[in-house]
Amino acid sequence: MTTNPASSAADDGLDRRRFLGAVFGTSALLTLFTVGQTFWPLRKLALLAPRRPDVGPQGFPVNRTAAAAGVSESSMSPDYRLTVTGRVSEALSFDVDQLRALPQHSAVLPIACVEGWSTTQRWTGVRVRDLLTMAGAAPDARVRVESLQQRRSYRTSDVNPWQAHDPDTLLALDVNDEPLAPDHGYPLRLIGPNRPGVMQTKWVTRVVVR
Amino acid sequence: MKLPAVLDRPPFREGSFTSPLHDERVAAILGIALGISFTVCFATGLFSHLAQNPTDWFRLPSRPAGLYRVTQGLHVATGIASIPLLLAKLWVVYPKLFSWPPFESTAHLVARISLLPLIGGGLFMLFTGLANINLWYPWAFNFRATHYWAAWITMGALVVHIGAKYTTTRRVLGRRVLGRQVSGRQVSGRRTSRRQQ
Repeated sequence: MTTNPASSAADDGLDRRRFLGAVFGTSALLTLFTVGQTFWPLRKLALLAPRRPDVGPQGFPVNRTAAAAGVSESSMSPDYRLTVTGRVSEALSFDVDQLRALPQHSAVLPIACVEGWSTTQRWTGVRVRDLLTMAGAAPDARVRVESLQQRRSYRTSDVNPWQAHDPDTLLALDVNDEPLAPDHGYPLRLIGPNRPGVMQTKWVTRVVVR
Repeated sequence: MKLPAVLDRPPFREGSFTSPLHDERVAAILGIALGISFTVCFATGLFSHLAQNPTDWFRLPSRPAGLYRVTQGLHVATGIASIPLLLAKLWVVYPKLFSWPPFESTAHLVARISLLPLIGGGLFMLFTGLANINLWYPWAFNFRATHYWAAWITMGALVVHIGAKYTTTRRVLGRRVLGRQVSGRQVSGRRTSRRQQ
């Protein structure tokens, strides 16, 4: 507070510039110490961010673990199957070995979480469009993938025709040439270009064509 | 207008706020920064909403592959960057709460009422967003739906506020150098007689 009547307008101007500098500086520092959660070169500075993009199983973060989703047993069960059903000419069913016997493709794609963190990994698995072709789905088919998890939000996600026919939209078995960790969606997760992280559904067990 | 006797004391009495930082130019500069950050945050948030809730006229393309990463990174970053800007702005202008008379015209009354959804909405958006990125939900309502609709209310109030403050902002930022004016106006709208003594 400036109560000295001798204080000049120039001093007040200096106060204002310093105040604005402090406010914008605080804003800039907050950004600097959080943006590393999605901007890889600054990841080591992400001290104030909830997550660092290089910390977690297989070197990247997890929002919902297999235990939290209640799929610890079902995802590891020998009874696990991926089924392709709905508006198809031939319903399909695969166990994990059969999925691995299908043509495999790799794509380097980010998971971009709605909470602001992101991480780029190399994913390998079966193209969604190959599965649709095998099942005889129509070219304009819309697809819904369903997770093993029984409750809570984001159990399913929709894949529109543009996404479904993108050659990089995969049902991934591997990340960086290792099978997915349980918390990353073992045995199978959806990963596609330009999708919100919550729609990169983990523990996928069913593809419904509509 | 003369203050009623019962209110003739701080913080209502003229000259109760003596800091030169309660200044229209400071408020205008912070306001412009917040206008930009809230607009970017709203646009990227709307994109994220549409990505998760496609409509007849919007369907998420699969390319560019990293688009959502950029828009959502911007959404969270502009939200976080807005926190100190909004707190500072509220502190700069809060003496206006005690200005007398409470309103001078119908337009002034509408502008003041629109501050309720603007300030309440702005604080609500930043708090719920910050809690959400920490996966902390200390409330009973659905985060996504509430954050979405509160954004429309906040941005509607922001449009009204920009309209109400456009002339003032042009006037106070038209001057050349911050602080060079001999007789500035404090945000209460009263002349700062202190500097003219």
